[in-house]
Amino acid sequence: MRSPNKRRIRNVAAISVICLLLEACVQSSAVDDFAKVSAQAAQLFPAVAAIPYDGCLVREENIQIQQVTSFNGDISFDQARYAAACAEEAKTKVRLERTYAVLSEYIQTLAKLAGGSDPVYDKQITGLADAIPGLNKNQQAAASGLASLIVNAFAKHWRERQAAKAIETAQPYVLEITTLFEDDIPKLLNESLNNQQASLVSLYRDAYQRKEGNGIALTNPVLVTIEFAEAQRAIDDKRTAVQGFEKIVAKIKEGHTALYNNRNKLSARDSIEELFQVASGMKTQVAAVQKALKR
Amino acid sequence: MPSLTTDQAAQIEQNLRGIAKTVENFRFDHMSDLSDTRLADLQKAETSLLKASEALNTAEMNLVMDDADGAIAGLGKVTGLLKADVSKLADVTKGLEIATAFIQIGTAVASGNLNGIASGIESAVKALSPAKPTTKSAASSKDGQSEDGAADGS
Repeated sequence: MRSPNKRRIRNVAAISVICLLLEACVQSSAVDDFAKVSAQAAQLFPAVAAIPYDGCLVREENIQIQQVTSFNGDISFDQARYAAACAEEAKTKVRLERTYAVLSEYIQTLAKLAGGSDPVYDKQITGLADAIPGLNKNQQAAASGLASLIVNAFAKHWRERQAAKAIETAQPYVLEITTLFEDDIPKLLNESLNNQQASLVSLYRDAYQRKEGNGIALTNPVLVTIEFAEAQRAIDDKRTAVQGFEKIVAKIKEGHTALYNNRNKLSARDSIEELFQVASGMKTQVAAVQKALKR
Repeated sequence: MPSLTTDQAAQIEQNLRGIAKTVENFRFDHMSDLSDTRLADLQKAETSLLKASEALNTAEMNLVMDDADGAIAGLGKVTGLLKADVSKLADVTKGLEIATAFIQIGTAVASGNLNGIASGIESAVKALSPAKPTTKSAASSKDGQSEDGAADGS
């Protein structure tokens, strides 16, 4: 006949196995994945935010080069004057970075609360249960499972409730800020790139054609075109980065909207899958922006 | 006074670039007919038009960010509240230690394991000891926030 103690342990073990299985069905690491890709995008953003400022510096340099009347290899660029001429663009760059950082920091903090740190607890529980002397495997599983249950009631559900409240409050702000970075800012960054391109064309036309005496002297158009194409490619790459960023922000909006819609069932399988899909789409765009900025 | 929309600002920028392009074309088309001074003036005009276009771009960028100031401040506030919740999570570790210690005792009693009972009691005493310096955890336990938060979902 089995002892009541053994039966009790068997019951606890059975319950715990069910609990563990249920917990294993849900992983909240989708939020972590989403936050991780958002963090990668945030690291790329300063290069995009610098487009107007960098463009201003290049334009100032172009102006100086366009005034050159002879070449002897002796030219110095007055960086202090450039910086003064581009002071407004510098301030706007910092403001753009800070604005994006608010969005990024929110997502990172949300992930700390709603993300999947449960496996860490699970490991701690297993470790502690293993340390209990004289327990067999079933008994250890029982101890671990019960601890998991308590921890999840204590931590996970509380975390989910807090995260749901934050997501609900943040949603209108996230929509407004993502709309800013999805619609207005890319349009203006593209206009800034158009201004850079206009300055570049003017510079290379001066390189190609110049007044000499009463006539016109032309430079080899192939040589000028080779140089121009290189500079043009740099602008095109920045344009690709802006487009990529626009898509990343659209995904952030989509991801947060998914979190908002599923805020009361953050651990549900369909909620997690939806967020994983958004994060996966973001990864593609982050790679595209990385590629454009590396060239 | 109503501000420009981004599309309107972009349209004005395009117009300014268009005028700059006309000046540029005029300069190159009449290069041999114009004096050096005149050419330099035209180049300055061209540059000024492009600078005006860029200045408008920067101003519009700041205007759209001004419009989003409320949302930026609001999201910053939510992040602040989230950070407070994250710091409360430190209490979970404490809760885990306490829970596990009691489970150790319970399991050891159930299995008649004397060593386990002793070890469980030792762990429970350690976990319940207020001397453990887990800063934030200790601070929030003092004002009862973590326990309340866990219990009532606040």
